[in-house]
Amino acid sequence: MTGFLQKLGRPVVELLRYLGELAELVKEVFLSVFRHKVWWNLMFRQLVTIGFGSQLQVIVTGAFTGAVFAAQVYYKFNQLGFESVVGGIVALAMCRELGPVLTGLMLTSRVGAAMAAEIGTMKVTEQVDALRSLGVHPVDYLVSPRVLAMLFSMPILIAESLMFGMGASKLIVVGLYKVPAAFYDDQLDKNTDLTDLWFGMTKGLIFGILIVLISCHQGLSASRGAVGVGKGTTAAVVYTSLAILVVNFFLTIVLNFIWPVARI
Amino acid sequence: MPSPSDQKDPSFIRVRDLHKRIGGQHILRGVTLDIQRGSGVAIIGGSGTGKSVFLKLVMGLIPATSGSIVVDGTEITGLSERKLAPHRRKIGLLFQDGALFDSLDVEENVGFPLVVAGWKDRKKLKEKVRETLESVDLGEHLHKLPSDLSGGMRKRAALARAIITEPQCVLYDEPTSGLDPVVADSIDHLIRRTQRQHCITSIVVTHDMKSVPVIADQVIYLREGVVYFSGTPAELMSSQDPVIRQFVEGRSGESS
Repeated sequence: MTGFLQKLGRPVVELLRYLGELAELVKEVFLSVFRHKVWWNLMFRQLVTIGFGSQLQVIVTGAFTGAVFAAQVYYKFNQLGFESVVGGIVALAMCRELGPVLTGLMLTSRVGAAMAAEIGTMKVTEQVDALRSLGVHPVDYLVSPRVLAMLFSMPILIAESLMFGMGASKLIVVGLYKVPAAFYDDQLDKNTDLTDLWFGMTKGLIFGILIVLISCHQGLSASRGAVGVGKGTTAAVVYTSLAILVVNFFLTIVLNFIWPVARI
Repeated sequence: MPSPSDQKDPSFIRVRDLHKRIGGQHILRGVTLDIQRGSGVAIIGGSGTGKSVFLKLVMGLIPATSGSIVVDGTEITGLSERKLAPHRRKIGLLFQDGALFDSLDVEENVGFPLVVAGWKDRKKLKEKVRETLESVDLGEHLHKLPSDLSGGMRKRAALARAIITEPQCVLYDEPTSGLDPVVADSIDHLIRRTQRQHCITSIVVTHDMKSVPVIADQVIYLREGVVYFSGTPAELMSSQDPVIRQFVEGRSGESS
């Protein structure tokens, strides 16, 4: 019985320990940004890597998701005679769910994996210890610039994703399936407003912070050489993706109280 | 109020009953020693006896299980990561593989401690870096990345990074491992020269018995987690203790 309880309890203890470590990292990032030195040159370098470097992926993902979602919604709504509503539905889904979630997942695979691998390699080759030996806190140098760069990049990336997603949707519905543009735009106006944008941006910022914290934590905890770095990188991608999907559900519920869906 | 270094304490490092456990292993089992200011100390001992662990403990990179480490008058055990930073800036550490930052070139690596120390004037910073690199015979490799350097060059660059701020003490973790005998000898002399020129306390972990008389005034032999021998290199070489003789002569006791 004791053995069974121990087996049951161990993952819970592990999860609590992991969450505690993440909370400690959040505290250190706050201390670092508000009380200690901010490495602005590194922040700008990360801005290029995270923001500029991720644009193509985010734009392509946004555009094709918008296009394919518009096509699917059109096929069904056309049978019901509601094809003019497609623009509004796509815009709502893109702003509130698809834009932030898919941008988060794309950044996880591209940026999160790279962060975990880079910091993990620094950890196992004693470069993190070298930083500490020079009196530099690893969070100040490795984590905070990435958090700040992510906070600046995420709104722009989400905006790009939404713009190209909705643009592609209009191209499909109006250009390919010949729904009048005036109907499409009218439904888009009626079904969406600025609150949908705030909804998506808030989600995106939280996902961005999750990506950096989980990935950097995996990197800083890496051990046992190349194998450890590989495992840490995989864990960073898996944990972040799961965290985005789970947190997205709770955010949807909570944020809907703050910014409810517009009434027609 | 005088700073700790003004108090004329001849010991720069004072260690008392230091224990360190890692996992199930009891690595250090009560190390007690004093290291005098400006002296050259070699720490020798078999693999796995805790020599590198000792250096990391003195630097505060890993926490002690129990015991006391006083560096320049400050007890460092139990200090937080942020409170350790000023203490660490008094000490340079040369890692076994150099641990140069592989995203920075040699010039940036060596200048990094100056940037941390708040040097703003780029011209002066570059001058200081060039001067330090020349002192370790690496003046012509400023813009190479660590991956483009040989093992000996990496160690020289790492040494330049460790000494550029003229710390009170430099810790060397096996500075000559993996180097050919000629390069190893030049590194040994470089360590001694640096120690004498700047009156730096140097602590060198080494397996290389040829290096010991060149780099050290005092030798500490760690065995089974405690200090087994402490004395001058001459006393070590003339010791008749069979355990010391076996280590000094490098006899495994096996025959083929």
